[in-house]
Amino acid sequence: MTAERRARLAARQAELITALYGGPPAEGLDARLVTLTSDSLARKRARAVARAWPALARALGADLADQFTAFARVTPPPEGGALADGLAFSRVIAHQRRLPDDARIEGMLATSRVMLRHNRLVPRRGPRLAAVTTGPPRRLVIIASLPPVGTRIVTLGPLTRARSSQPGRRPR
Amino acid sequence: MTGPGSGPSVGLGPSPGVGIGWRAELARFIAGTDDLRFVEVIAEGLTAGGPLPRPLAQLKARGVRVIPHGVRLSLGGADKPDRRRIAHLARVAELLDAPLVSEHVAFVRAGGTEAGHLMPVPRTREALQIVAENVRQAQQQLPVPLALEQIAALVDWPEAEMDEAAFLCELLDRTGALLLLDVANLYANARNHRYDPLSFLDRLPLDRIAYVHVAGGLERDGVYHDTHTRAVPPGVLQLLEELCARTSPPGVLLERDDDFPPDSELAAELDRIRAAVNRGARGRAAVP
Repeated sequence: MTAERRARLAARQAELITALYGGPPAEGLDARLVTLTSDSLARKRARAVARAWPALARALGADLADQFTAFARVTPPPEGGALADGLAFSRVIAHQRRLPDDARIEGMLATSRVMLRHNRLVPRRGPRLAAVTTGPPRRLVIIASLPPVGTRIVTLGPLTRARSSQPGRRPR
Repeated sequence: MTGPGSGPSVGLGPSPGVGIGWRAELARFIAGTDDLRFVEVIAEGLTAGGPLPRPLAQLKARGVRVIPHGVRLSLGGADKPDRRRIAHLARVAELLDAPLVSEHVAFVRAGGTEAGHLMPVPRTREALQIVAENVRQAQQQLPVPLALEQIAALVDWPEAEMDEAAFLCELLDRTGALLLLDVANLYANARNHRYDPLSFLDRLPLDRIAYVHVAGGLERDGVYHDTHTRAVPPGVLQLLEELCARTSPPGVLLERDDDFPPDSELAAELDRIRAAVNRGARGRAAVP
């Protein structure tokens, strides 16, 4: 009895969420207002992502709002807030365009601390080593994290063909 | 100020006056504003085991009331509220020595999918019973009273059997919860769904108000969005004044979530809120 009532309500509420993210319309709801709600949710998420991912926001500039809202209109938000949202978004766009170095480093720093699993942010436990090449001039940026001790960024380079590289450090 | 504090005390303590929603971007402004007596903090942003972020710990040490505001319990959802989420809210309330906590009459997920924001509950008898059960479950697990906030929503369910005021009053009645009255949400809904906000006010149990929210939004595509990104518009201040002409709410809190203005503008905004409260209170005093 209670379970049936709850199941009916669940179905109806799921219908609205589906409609908000590009799915079929929810029965009896004003489609225009559903679209306006969806747009407004996407803009709100875009603002939060721009705050949580400053390098990504700088890299995409005014395009961030357009690209992110296009993504957010069909993608329900993950549980982990703007950090997770930006992570999921940057995965999508990373395939489509090469992001500037600082945005890629920002992404790697985030993934050195947390990972997106089943739409939730999970803190990483073990040590992790990740590297990315930047430039020109080409450098190797190594991000070493050892929770809970912390994260270190080491930049090697500029890398030249025959010579051995000069280690340099960027505090973080 | 003369307004807040003289009404029935429902936990905020004497004369909390005007407060502001604590956000990291506002931390410096809040720390430097001595006459703020209470703030609200998003409960899910805090770690239940502590320690408190330093700016909040400093406010608490200064005697500023810090009220945890939950946004993800989904009390209006079809599923029973998650005991772990309620436990988190309870522990945050203890960490802050908060006299009460607040949440929304809304759902934020269904069928395992997040909605992304607070969504309106279909106002049916059946849903009312479910929400009341959810609220009671939360209350049983919380160490302090729970205040429920009514949300702003553009969409409305065709199956609604009650209007917003009826649903809210009945829910408060059944659960004994306090009311966090969001005047900006009332303004938005009354404007978008074309009803009279004053008759809405007149139907509410105003003596159950724990505190009040105000915020500014913007009009877009012919509807008003309560975005918390603009100055509080005159219409919301007028509605606040009308409320304060009817009752003395224990506190009034400004919510600002984005497009943060310079300190001087924020201070002026708080002054306008105080002025609206005082105008309303004078109106109340003038009535024999």
